Amino acid sequence: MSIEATLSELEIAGDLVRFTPRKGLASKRGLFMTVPLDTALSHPNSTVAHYKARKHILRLFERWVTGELMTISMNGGGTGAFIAQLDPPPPDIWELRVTEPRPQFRVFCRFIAKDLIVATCVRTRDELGPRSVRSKKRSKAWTDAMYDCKTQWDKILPGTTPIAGHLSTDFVTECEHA
Amino acid sequence: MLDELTPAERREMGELRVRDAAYDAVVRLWQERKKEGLSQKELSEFLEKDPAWVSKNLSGPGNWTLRTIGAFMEALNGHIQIKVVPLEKCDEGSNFDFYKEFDRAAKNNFDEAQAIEIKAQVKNDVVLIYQHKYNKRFVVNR
Repeated sequence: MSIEATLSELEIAGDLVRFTPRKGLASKRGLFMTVPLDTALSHPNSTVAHYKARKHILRLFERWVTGELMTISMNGGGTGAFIAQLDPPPPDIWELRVTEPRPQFRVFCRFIAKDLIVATCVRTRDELGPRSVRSKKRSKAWTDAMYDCKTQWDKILPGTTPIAGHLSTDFVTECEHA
Repeated sequence: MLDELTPAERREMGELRVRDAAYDAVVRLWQERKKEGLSQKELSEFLEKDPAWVSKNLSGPGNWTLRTIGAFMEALNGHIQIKVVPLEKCDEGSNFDFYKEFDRAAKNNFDEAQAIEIKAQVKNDVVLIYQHKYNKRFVVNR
């Protein structure tokens, strides 16, 4: 089954939610989210609601989908990147960085195709702790969040491998390096 | 999902959109100027800010105000043009290929699902409700 058909089927079944821009604006990139993430963004008692961060997260989703300027980091660093590839394990996990308000938020996702991401879960930056795996300082919370992303992916898209690569252009057609 | 924002969230979202549009425009001009030879040091000297401030502000629009936009615009020798158009008159054309495929596939699968609905009703007396949710989305609720 093609990726398109798979995602459509999951969307029809209610397992994935497609993020669409406002009517009249075209989608230049794609973003699907899992139901738990959709709930985390919509539920009035969620952490996102508590910190009034929904608009900021949706704004970043909108930035992605409408094809606005996207700065990218391929090594987990890159201050100012809107999207960053995280050091494995697990492999091929990315974060969307919502840098305002405080605390910041991180949305974990994977690329199912070029310019097309499946976002799975969200955490506050504060609860994640240190990130760098190279300095051997990565917190358990970071690892757990990344594995949560992988687990949700495997549950919804069993047998589907996220795309991998070393160049930003393997993932995003038009972007800037942070 | 954007349709579900409260009026207060929509107002704040509007502010974020304007600010982000200004930030994107400034960063694009900064990239052009960099290629032409302008350095971040020269930029910070013009702005009378330390290089860390310049670097921080060019890496994200979080703290941007009209003052920031104006200062960068002058530092980059830019000219600002603002156009606000009615959203209903926006027609950016078609979605990128993946979404086109989704729309087609969703329509096809919906037709198949309708056939399943009839069968299920006959055999198991289960009622399935299909409804549009968001744009062109078909969600199955039992």
